[in-house]
Amino acid sequence: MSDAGNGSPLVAVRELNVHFKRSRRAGQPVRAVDGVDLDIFAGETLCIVGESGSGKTTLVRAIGHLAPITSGSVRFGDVDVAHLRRSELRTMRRRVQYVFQDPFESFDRRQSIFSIVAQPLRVHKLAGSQSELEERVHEALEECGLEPAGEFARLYPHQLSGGQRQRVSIAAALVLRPELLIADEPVSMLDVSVRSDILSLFVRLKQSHQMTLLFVTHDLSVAWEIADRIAVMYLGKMVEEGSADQVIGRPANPYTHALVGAIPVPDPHDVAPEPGVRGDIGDIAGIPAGCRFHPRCPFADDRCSAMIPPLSRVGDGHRSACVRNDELELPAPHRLATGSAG
Amino acid sequence: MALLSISDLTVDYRRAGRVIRAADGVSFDIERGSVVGLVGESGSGKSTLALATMGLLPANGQVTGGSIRFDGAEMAGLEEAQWHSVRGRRMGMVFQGAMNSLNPVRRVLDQVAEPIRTHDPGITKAKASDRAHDLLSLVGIPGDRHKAYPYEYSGGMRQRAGIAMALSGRPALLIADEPVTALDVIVQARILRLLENLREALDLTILFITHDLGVVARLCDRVVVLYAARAVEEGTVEDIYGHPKHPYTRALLQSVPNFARGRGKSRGIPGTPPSLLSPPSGCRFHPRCPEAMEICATRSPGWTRFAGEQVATCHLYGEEGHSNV
Repeated sequence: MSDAGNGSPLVAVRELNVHFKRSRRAGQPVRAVDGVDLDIFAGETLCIVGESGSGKTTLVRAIGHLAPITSGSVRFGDVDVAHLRRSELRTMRRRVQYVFQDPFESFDRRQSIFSIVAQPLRVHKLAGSQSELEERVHEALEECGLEPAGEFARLYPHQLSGGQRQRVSIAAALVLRPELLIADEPVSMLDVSVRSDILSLFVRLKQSHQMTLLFVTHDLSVAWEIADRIAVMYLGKMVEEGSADQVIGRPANPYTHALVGAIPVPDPHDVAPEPGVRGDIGDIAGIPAGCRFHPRCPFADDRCSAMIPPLSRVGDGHRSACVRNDELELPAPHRLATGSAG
Repeated sequence: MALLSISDLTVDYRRAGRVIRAADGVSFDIERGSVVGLVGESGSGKSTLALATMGLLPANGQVTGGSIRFDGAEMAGLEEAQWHSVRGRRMGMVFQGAMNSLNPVRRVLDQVAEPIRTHDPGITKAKASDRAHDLLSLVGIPGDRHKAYPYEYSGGMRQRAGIAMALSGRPALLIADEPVTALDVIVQARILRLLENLREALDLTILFITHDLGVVARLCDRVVVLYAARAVEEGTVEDIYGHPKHPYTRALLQSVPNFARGRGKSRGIPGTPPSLLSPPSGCRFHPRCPEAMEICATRSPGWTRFAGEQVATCHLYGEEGHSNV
């Protein structure tokens, strides 16, 4: 499959479909994730990027066994996520942890920070004694920058800022020492001045705990900041995948190209031309035949409505789903400084 | 003369017996035909300034000092009845939720025609309808969709309809409060381009309120940076992004990803924006400022003027009195 990473993937997604019924009467189900193949390699930060309705959240929820898999397979190590046995499910719940968008809603307001972070350890019976429990909770809080941990542990969510609450939810995920950390838009509710410290916290923890980070965002500049690789989704399909520099610097798919070009950059001299893309994702009634982006695509021709383009190689570890992969020479949307994340 | 001149404006909210000063001596001008960005994080007072300028402060909010001069006339302290000839006419407003504020059971065309008839009671129904068609076409909605219902529109089209309604009174000033924040990025870019085109076509002056430094760079001529209810720096977009003077402005720009700077180079600002119930003494940024000095905790800095029209309020640059330059 992908030629990025080394060896066999930690997570292998094949032909994954997650379809939801609209209602009992409506015929056509919503194809939230439709025929997605994806490899996630141990130790990498993979960002799933897409607009609202792209299926990015459903995809990662299916990977973490939080959304029902209609067909296809998700393998997590040697476990088949679609057909988990009871014992496997419990292990899975420990090996995969989540951080969600809204740190304001994910806590019970009556629980202290200590109980919030201790709860996963209690549920999984991973702390033998009270002192071990305290030690592990305090360690997680400190690692997440909530120091002195003893003082933070006694507080309640309403006494913390948004950034601090998100640090608590990261600590509560970290305390189980997961192999895969799934973060779904974890900074989009936060003020810009606190976002980047939370992003670098993710990168730091991923390294120190040798975790794999699966990060969902609508914001390509956030993805560029932290990702090793970026996968772009549109209406349930994966349309492009590659290194962060490939996807942001030299996007191959017309959709990604429009998406990257539309990022508002904090540089008055870097104004990309208006995307030649028509309408928006919500203007599409139902799912178009062929390439799902073709009704909005400025480069579409007759072939685009006739066939669904597969993800195919356009460079080293770089794939794009477009019938015109070999014909289009898309200009770089932004001036990029090259460098590595974290 | 500036179209809008905010001078030493103070706005207080009363809540449970306490006073929250959400704008504390803020001053800035908007010249005719310009687009000025008001940038700040949550609690900076940016939306309060927009509401005060439109005379839309909630019941517990009040302008307690300073002035708002619009087109030469004082707006602060205007009675509600007097606002009717201004708001929605010479001042239009688009806000973040505008796309969700359309009435779901009325056709978009009728909803755009309604304010036209309110502003001009003598106009015939047919004329108002014609003008509503013109406005909807102007904001890029195809003619065959004008009579649709809001639920048949995408988020971007509903925001366009919201802009059409804001333009119905032929405003000189358009106040846009986070108008593209909830939109996907491609739609956002197209709405920003629409606002640029409307500015040219209608000779609009725009006050654009946002937390997004990228959006400001794209659209605005000038920027006013707010922190904890005070303006801390003002200048052209080139000044502010090219050579920011205030440590907060610098830190804010450092905190957002920037393609030209390189990956993994953004740095957050330590701490969190202060509560307006108990703002820090002296310069309000001093508890988070990497360059804070002793004086910063005790004295509010005055304004310093730099080359061009860039001004900042920071003790690093010495004092030029306490009044605004």
